[in-house]
Amino acid sequence: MKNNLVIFAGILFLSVGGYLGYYHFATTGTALMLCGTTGEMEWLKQEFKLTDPQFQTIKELHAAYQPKCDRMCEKVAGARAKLDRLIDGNQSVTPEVESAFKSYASVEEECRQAMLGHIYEVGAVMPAESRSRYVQTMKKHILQTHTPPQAAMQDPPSH
Amino acid sequence: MKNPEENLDTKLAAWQLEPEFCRDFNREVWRRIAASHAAREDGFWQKLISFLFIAPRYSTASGFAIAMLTLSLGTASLAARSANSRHWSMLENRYVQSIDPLTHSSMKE
Repeated sequence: MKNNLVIFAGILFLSVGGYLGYYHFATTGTALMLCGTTGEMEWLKQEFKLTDPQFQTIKELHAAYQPKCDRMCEKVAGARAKLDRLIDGNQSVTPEVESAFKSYASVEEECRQAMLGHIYEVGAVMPAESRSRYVQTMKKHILQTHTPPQAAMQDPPSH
Repeated sequence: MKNPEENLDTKLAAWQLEPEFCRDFNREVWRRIAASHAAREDGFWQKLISFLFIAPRYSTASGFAIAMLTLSLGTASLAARSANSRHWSMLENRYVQSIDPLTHSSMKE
């Protein structure tokens, strides 16, 4: 009886150990990428099978785009804050509110175009198959991020 | 009258051992040697398999262990695939956030 219990415990220990070991071994790569500060760039390299020179060029493009992205971000934040203030401070759609809406929409459009421009630039470095996949993947995100809230809340059309 | 010990000595001195060898003695020795050679040539895996699955004492435990290991590794494989897919998706979102000024501004607020 005691012998059987020892065997059972051993098997249980082996199974749990096997589970943990396999899980750890199989997920370490992506977990490390997730913890790293440049994990997203590593993702790009692996997902689109970039060679080292291609990856280097893309990293340079990415670094050059960051200040532009930050400026855009500040412009968006400014336009949003102004709109927020005006919405709170008015009881009707005044010409000032209207202008703030237009300004916000214009900044948003500018951001979208800048982002798309960067996507095309990065895609141009990739091989044809990866380029088209990259643009498709990014397009999905652009459309998701910038879908108007009402449309996003509707159910997708059934086919 | 003789001393009983002298009597025994005489008897012991007269006693002769006549060993009876089995007729098949030689053949039996060679058969055992051949069997032990064959067992040695069976190899590690064959011995292990016969120990684990043929010996009645361990065959149930071995079957159970293999079933449990298969189950745990299968489950681990599924869980790892799901975790990797989740991580991959998070990395993709992080990349998009790094190039999207609108997401940047939302995160700063």
